[in-house]
Amino acid sequence: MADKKENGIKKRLLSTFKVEAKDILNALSLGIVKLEKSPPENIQMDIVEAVYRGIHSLKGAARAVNLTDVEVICQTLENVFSVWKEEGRIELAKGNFEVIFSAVELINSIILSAEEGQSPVEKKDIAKIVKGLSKIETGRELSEIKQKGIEKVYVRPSVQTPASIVETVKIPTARLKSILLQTEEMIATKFIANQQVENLIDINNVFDSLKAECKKAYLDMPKNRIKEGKSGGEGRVLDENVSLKLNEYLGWTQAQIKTIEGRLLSLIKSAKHFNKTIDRMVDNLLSDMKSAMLLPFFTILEGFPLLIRNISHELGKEADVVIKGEWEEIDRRVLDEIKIPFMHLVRNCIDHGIEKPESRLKNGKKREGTITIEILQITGGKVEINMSDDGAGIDIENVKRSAVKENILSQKEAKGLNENEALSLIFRSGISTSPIVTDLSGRGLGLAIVREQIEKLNGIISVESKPNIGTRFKIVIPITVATFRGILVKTSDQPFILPDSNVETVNRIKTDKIKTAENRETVTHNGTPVSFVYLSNILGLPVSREKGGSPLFTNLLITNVNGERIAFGVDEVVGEQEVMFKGLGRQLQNVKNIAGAAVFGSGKPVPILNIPDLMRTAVGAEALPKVSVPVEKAEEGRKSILVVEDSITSRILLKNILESAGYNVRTAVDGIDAITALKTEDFDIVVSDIEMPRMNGFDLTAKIRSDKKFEELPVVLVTALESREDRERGIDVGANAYIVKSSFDQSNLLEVVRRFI
Amino acid sequence: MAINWEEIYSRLESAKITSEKGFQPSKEERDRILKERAKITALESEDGLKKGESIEVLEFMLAYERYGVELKYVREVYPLTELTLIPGIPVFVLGIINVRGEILSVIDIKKFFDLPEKGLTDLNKVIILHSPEMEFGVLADSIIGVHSILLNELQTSLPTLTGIREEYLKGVTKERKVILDAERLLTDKSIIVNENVKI
Repeated sequence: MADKKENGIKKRLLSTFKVEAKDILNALSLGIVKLEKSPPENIQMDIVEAVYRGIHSLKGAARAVNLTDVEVICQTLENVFSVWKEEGRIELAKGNFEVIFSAVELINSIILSAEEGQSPVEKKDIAKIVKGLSKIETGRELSEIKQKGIEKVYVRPSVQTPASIVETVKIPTARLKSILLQTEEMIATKFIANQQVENLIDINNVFDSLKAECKKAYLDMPKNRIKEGKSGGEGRVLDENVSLKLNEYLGWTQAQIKTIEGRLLSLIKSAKHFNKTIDRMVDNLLSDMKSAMLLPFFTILEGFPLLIRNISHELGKEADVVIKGEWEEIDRRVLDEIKIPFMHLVRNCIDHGIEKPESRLKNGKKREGTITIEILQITGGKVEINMSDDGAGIDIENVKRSAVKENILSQKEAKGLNENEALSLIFRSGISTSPIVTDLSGRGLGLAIVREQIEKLNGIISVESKPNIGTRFKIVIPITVATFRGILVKTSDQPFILPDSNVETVNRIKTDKIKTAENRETVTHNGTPVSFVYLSNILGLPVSREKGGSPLFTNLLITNVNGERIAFGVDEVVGEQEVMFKGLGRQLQNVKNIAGAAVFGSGKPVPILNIPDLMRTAVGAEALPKVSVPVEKAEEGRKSILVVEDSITSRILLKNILESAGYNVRTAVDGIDAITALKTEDFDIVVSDIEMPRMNGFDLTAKIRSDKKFEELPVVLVTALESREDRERGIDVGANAYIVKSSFDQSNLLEVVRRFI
Repeated sequence: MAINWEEIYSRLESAKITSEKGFQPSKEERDRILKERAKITALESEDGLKKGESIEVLEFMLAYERYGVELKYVREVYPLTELTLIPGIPVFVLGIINVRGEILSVIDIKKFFDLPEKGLTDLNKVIILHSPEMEFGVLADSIIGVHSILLNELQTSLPTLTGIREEYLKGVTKERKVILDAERLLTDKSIIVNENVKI
């Protein structure tokens, strides 16, 4: 029992240690890289001091969790730096730094896989490192230095601390995520509160007309009595008693109306107040939550100096890194997502950009290449990230050749490209300018993945390059993924969101303004032709343009990605809205044309379209035959079916089966809903489930049959009820056919439907 | 009524002797008792062996068949009221739902396994399966309940009986309940939709 408890404590200690050690190691490598860079005669002693202290506290922490190996390595490292500290400088050849780096790496790998009290690393590796480190020490006796090192511990030099230290706590990301999710759900509450007020106002309006009617009746009453009383004898005289009773009743109703009216008004008032309060609370909560999600770029960039150093060494190159604006803050979710693209880009810069030292010198450049990462806050809640190198630049002809070789372009097309268009080819998959494939890059996938990732975050990446001067990648991304503005549209009866950031204009034009030029449909935008496509075609949705008003006009959105424009035709533009970006779940990792989903008041997710992806699909789809016009014609002769079913999946299934058989389908969720639909639209047949809330299929059939207008309307009941009585009851109420669900398949449904219409 | 003190004293005396002497059965009697005990304990252990390992299974109905998944992979059961269709995804993915602010995809395992469509069913429950790396909903008509199933009572190689490929089956019970291998489903790469950039 006690053991178990102790184990638990040890486990917790170890995980805390891991977090702490990661921080220390990051700072250590940063410091050591700096030391390596600075010339020996100009060593910054404060960095040496900081590294020394870092190693020392790591040693102490390792001892606390029984990681002896880490402790031993730290001890020897500490010795090296203590000499350095004492002497002011030591002769450290490049090779010595190599040993120090591998020591840090070794510690890292021990910690990563460490379980309580044991390390997975071979003892002999540790011995090797320790031996290597001991050699660095400049001939002094080990024990002597050790002594001094330990003494130093107790006389901590006064340390300069950063001016403002904010108290912080560490929270597991999972917990933060769950709080965030629930906070975001609060938006739905906001919508509902708003809806509630609207509903109350509606009720009040209905109530107002009731009040007016009642008042009129009351005023009419006494006159009637007098009049009828006078004219008398015509057999239409109201009984004095009834009349009196009615009068009394109307008076009472009037009084009741007054009471209800008073209550209703105060209810509306308090609902409005509540609505306002909840609006403010949710907004505040969300914005606080958003800022709780912000982290400085530094958290992903701090490892970069070491990364760049290692990669360039591997490739026999030399590169320095300059980071600016690393304290700009961004949503941690964005940060998590851009870390990998950043690494890809940096690798790309070193592998393709920076030249070997010899050729750099030959070209009159500094021996060491420089990679600059600069982060700038720009307007509209976005940041601009510039990652540039001073290398050879991108060989545009080479890019074109590769594109032609990969059959992405024809020779002729390649010739026709301008510089920018040719440069942007490097983001296509399969294109690489590298003559050999290394494990770092050269497979032509890296930049394609980078672009995909950035676009997923609603960002844009572009590149510019000058021969022999360098290459610059520019990324613009929103600071937070939480909300952005989007345009809600409907096409084929389905809602979709298009992020504002890539939509240039929303327009309604006369359909005959869509012209066919060079075998593509185009519209004119600001005097220039822009390709036009129907959104439903691009998404592969069935064409149904019966809604969205007259075919005389077409609603369209013009999207813009890096200066390329395409006009998308939609059925309806519902409006602009603030939306919350959410992923599609872990199973749907990447879906073509769809970036994610947003949740609105109803709680039903709405897909968010990926505009750059959509535009690429559109470009690929242009060769497809244009079907929009003939389909619309055919639609006029279509029969329409009302499907009544409470289960959503069955409803969708029935709708799909019937639609693909060429019928127009409208759905209703129960009998009441169906009656409403029947009143507003004409149908050729009704297909209904039996067991439904509010009004079941039998009652619906009976109701339909009782209406003269629908005497001839065929009704097909589809049901799980299999008994003979049910079947008889179905026929009794006047159903034309009865399909049992368990024997249901689409051919027998279609056969039955065809028999009646 | 006169009390026979004499007799009471003698009875007390004999009881005292017996209790002081303790329980000392004859050899035969001891052997018999020990054998009996051995039999009882032996029976118990034999019983335990027969029981073996069992798993908790959530049983559900799907297209007039009984299925089960191991309970430890079930996060929750959620009613299916709203569903959003996503164009251009494989047919076995029905769409996405919102579970308290989190978007989850919903899978129709009948379509995933290429099972024949058997009639029209209600499908108004979503069983949310999860592992640290994966999470999705599986459609069901109704939930029957949670039962304990003995692992060694599962017949493991009867794929023809169910139409489901063997690798996704944990086994079939005597009552022909099909127990799906949730772990396999959750780690299966072919269930992940990852349409890479292709132009």
